[in-house]
Amino acid sequence: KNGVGGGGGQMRLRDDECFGADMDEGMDTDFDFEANLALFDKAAVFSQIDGTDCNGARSRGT
Amino acid sequence: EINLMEELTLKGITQYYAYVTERQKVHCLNTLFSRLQINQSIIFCNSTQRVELLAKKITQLGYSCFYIHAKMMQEYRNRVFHDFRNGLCRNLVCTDLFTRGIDIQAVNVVINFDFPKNAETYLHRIGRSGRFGHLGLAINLITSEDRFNLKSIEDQLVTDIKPIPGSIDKNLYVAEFQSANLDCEVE
Repeated sequence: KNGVGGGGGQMRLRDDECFGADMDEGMDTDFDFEANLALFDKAAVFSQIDGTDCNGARSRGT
Repeated sequence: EINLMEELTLKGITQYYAYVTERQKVHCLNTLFSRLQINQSIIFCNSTQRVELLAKKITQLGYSCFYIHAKMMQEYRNRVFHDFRNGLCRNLVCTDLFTRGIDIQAVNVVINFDFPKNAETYLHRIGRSGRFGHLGLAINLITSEDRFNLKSIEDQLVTDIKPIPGSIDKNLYVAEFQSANLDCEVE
């Protein structure tokens, strides 16, 4: 199993990101579904998951 | 143990995903609210804390919602759920409380604000008992971290969750638009 447990601090960080004050910006415009979907090629990601046991942290694109 | 997964079906449910970051989730949800024709919706989060935070946000955005989670007294939970079932509120935010799937016909949209970690949970959230010829929409907000769970859930349930299209056909989930089609299919 993948060791996810014990990430209390990380969970809080996620909650802050998700519900913090700065996510309110741009709420008056529509969310751009299409532009975001373009960032995720499901078929490619899935075949990558199939092909690699050690999931590389490469796909972050930072 | 009883295998509840066999009782539930994804038949009739159109499943889509939207690709988001944590920061975009509320914005995405807000746009879904404005675009979809929701009769009643259930929105799932993966923690009690997030249910409360999201319910607060939804209220701030000007939508009505109830919320229930596992840390609430059972009696109170029952009451809120009963009121929701009776149509007193359009949206319900909750954690995984339903062990037999959602059995409310008025619910035509289910949103996984947080994507579940396993197939059984997914099926309990989205699946229907199959007694009704019930159509509905399931929208999954997917982050990069969810990709592994997305794949394993699709594989296990042998289903395909598709990218959300620019506009969603109301025939797929709005009752008024369905009746004509169902008339044709039933008998």
